[in-house]
Amino acid sequence: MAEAPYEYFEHTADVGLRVRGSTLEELFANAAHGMYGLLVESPPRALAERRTVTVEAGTVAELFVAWLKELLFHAATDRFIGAQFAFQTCTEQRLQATVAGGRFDPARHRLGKEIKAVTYHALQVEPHAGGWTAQVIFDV
Amino acid sequence: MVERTTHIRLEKIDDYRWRIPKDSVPGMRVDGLIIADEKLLQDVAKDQAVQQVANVACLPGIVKYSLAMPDIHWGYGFCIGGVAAMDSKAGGVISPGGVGYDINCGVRLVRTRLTVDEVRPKLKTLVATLFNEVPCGVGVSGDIRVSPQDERRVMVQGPRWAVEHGYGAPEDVTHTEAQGCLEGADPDAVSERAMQRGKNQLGTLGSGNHFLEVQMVEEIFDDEAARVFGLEPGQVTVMIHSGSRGFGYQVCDDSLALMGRAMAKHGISVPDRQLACAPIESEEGQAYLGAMRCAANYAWTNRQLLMHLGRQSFERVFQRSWQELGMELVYDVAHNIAKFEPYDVDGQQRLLCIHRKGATRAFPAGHPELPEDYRAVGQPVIIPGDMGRNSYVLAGSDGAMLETFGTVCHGAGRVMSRTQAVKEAAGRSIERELEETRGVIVMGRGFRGVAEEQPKAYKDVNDVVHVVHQAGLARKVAKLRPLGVIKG
Repeated sequence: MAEAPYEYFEHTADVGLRVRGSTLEELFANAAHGMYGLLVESPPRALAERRTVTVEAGTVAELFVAWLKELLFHAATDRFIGAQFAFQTCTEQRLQATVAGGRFDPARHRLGKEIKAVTYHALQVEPHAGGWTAQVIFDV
Repeated sequence: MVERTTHIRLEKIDDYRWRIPKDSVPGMRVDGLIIADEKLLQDVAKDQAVQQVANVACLPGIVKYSLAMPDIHWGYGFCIGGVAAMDSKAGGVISPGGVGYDINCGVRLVRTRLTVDEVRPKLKTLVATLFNEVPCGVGVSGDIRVSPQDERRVMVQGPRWAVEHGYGAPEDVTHTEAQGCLEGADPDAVSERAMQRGKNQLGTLGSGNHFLEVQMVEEIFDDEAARVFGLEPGQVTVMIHSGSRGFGYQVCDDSLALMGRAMAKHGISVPDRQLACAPIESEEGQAYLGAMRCAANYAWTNRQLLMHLGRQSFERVFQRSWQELGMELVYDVAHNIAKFEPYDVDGQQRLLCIHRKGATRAFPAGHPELPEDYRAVGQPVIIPGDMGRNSYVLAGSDGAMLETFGTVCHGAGRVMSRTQAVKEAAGRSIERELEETRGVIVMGRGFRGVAEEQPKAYKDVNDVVHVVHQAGLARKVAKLRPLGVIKG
């Protein structure tokens, strides 16, 4: 893809993320990278841990938010930052993925900002000819 | 921009009051009322905040009007600076969006006996010591470990728990809004996820706009109130801005989801998903209130522990105990909270659920909830500004009780997005500029963090406070100026 997989956009006091992906899997992986990019400047290099993440929701937009909330929970409680994603299931209502990554060390890594929540405000997840696009706003 | 600016007509009542008539938006049950002057309104018109004031006016059981303070700006569901009073007897609702993700985000002000002349020579050491001692930034844990039994006590008792464990003095508790403890906190209503996100975060500052600031009293406006609050020109103070950390964020998130599903059951529809709500008396409403109160009490404990760490840092640098340094808590206010308070509405006494989302309680002289030593002059209302200009101490007035459910503004309010602020700071060091031009020492943890929080990104708090003072809601007591700031 010529276009960047994700970009941040302005939203008064908070930060928005716009994501693209040629497949739903790619969209979800790029969104995760985008969110992690706000928390830490770069992901831990060693992929020391693997975690299985499963989320379900009624719509693809809700699934998108549920996925990011789940990853945010891992980051907020264990400082776990994912770097590689292998999807076992990825439909519009259900997602199961193995996330390989590592824990960041606040003493060593350059830190970004805390994300309080993944919001539903102005949430969009849409299919189009070349794949999927999404936008989401984080309360920071 | 995500959305187009709305064009809701504002009717001017006087220089500081603007009405959104009830017929502006379908579904409004009451008028909207914005406290602002023309200058501040120009910024308000740029985003969706006015629409949000109108949306809140649609909520069931809202009394009198949907209010916004002069630091109004766009928020989730409710605008920041939003105030709404709900009557449970009239089917009133409770809305997590009317409190916000950071439940009981708030501010406390500590006075010292030190003067600016005594502190200035040691300022860099002091700021560096605070930066090392006060955990701040993403993923940084606190050093204060709390057992599972004590976690429940924190949720139910608030800072009384901290004082009993050696982190402060009993007077700290009496000088905290609601004595730092909302009754009816129900730890069983808190999810396991919230418990996990709150673990190891007591006594941590966080990031974003949270800070610990060393300040000086620059100007006194009301001699009597300043004397009662123990403030005088040239004196050094410490201000702490933080909230309930991951614990509160998760409580809010859990409740939004729960209420989003329950609205149909209660026959409620709202114009914005982030306004999800439930009747106060419903199971969902009570569950949120029980959990929200736990988060509020957690936040007061957090600020108590942050103050303890601040006192320890001063002790280390000045080689005297905090008592000898006169580091007493002036007051602690919540600015993201929902509480039940009695108000006279059209000659009738009603117990109302006051939502304050980026708005501060401001009780006048004589109010029974105030500590005895402040009862003659009114509640200290602490209004933080940006890290370059000023912060304020106000005193509550009768005007707020009559008009705004005992509430005023909470700060300056952003005018510039974070990305815009970073662009403005490109190639510059905001830290160096603040030091060279204003003598303010800033230490920040996150990359871009200080650039995002630069003074230009905020409205001038002087303008915001001017409106509150002129509108007769609270009166100016003291103006503070930053000397040193630590940020996450």
